[in-house]
Amino acid sequence: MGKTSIRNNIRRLRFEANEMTQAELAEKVGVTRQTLNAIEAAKYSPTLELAFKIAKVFDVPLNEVFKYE
Amino acid sequence: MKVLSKLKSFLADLTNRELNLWAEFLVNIVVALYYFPNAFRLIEENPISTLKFSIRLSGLVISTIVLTIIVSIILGIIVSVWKKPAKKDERDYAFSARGSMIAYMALFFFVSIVIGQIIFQSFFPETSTRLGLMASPLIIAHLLLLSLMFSSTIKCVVQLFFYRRSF
Repeated sequence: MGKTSIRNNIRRLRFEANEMTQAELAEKVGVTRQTLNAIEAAKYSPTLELAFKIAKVFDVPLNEVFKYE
Repeated sequence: MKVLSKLKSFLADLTNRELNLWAEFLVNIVVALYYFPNAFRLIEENPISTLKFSIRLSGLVISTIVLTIIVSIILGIIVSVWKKPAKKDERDYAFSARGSMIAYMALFFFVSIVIGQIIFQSFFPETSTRLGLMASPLIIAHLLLLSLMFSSTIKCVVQLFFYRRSF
């Protein structure tokens, strides 16, 4: 389980959302901070449901948060 | 000094879930190191089952259960005081599933070896005796128990590996 092919803009989106912390976002989507950290670092691919939840928090479409390279 | 500070940062970085896995791993090791050498020594010393042997083996089983409970409680308290328990999320379940899958393969492998040994023993009893492979039902039961413990330990190790790799 190294780096995945799924890239994301979570760090940028968090920064734009009043510098939301990883812990805050993790709580909003119902995962641990460590899981969110792994997703953000592209070391863990979230399920589709979690990906949609993250996009919903930022109120953006899914493809603005995640992209497949 | 550098190693100590690395160890400190490693321990600080561990989550409650990882600490629980380390605790489970330690319990497995402690129990295996306590039970199996004593059990095999007992079986070796008393090849024919006697009442005295049964009592000693029962005592060993009971003391192992007590030891497991005590070690589990102590480690459980340490872990919950050290790091707050967190609700399991999808990553925990994913790693648990991977651990179970690999542990199942390991268990399948170990049990196949034990079954193979039983078949070999019944087909070639003379060769088995000469090679020291003759196993009593009690030894076979212990080999199966050892396989279970091995696979349980492998499950812990696999999960710990994935937690570290995905950081």
